[in-house]
Amino acid sequence: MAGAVSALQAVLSAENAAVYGYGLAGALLSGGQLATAQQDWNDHRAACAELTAMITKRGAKPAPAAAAYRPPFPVNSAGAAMSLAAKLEEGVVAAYLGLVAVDDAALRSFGAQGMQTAAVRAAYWRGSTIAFPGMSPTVLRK
Amino acid sequence: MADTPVGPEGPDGFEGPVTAAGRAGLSRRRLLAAGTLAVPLAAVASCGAPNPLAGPPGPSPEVRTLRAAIAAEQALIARYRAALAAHPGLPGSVQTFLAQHEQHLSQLKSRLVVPPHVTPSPVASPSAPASAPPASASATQGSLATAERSAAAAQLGRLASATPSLAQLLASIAASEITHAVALGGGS
Repeated sequence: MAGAVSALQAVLSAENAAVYGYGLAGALLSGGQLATAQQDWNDHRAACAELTAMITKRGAKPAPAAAAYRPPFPVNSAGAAMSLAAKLEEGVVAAYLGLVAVDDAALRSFGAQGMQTAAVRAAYWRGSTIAFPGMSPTVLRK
Repeated sequence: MADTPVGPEGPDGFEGPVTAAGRAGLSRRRLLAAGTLAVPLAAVASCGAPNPLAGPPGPSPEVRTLRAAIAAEQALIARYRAALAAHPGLPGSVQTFLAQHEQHLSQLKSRLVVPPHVTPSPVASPSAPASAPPASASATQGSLATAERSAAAAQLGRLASATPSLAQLLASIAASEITHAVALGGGS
């Protein structure tokens, strides 16, 4: 189950980064977008709590959240805040994709559900859908 | 089921009747080719593999899972084409989603490895969409959203019988399908 725990830790750390990032993004958003960001922030906090419990239950120590995360680009406008939210969600989708590769069927299913939720949020912030959420282009066959 | 890619039948008779001539005609080379494809996949899918001395296995669960996913993707594409033919005024995003489904299909097909010297039989073509698209464009859009949701749910049902790599592809396709459903106005 070592693979399962490390995949869960990776998801937890992506969720922690999202919680931090939505705090940054929210400060630049207003109206319906702010409300959506607050809802997403809450959902990510709930996911962190659930993942923490899942990791603890498997006898491991949940990796703590970092004190701060550096955004991949300057976040100084509503547009940049939305791009950051999309980017964070893409990271969460990719982390859940790792869970889909473990042997445990229940965890695979949990990972696939997590991908769907985050992919819907990513599409909202990006403004478009993509064909292969979470997949690195390098693993797709030509 | 004459479309088995790895050999005529398995020890437990998964697949249809095999004639003595068919069995005798199975060259050693083909057996080896079938074995190299099927054994690693089966080993991943189930650690307690069946008796390895019992002969070449039938199509692995992996291959069946892949074929089911391909057939489902083809059915969805047929549904989109029928919708666009009946309602050319559907939003441009519908065309985008169709193109993304074509990408899904091509990735799935690229994983269907047919060993050398085995005639690749076509994947069962999907039956025509059960019914014509609804008369109104908005109802058609709703029916596409429903079809996307069922397709995504079916992918989740295939995860347990897939290798890790195929499971990831199926889960990614399912996530894409859910984003289509939401964009089409399918609620949650």
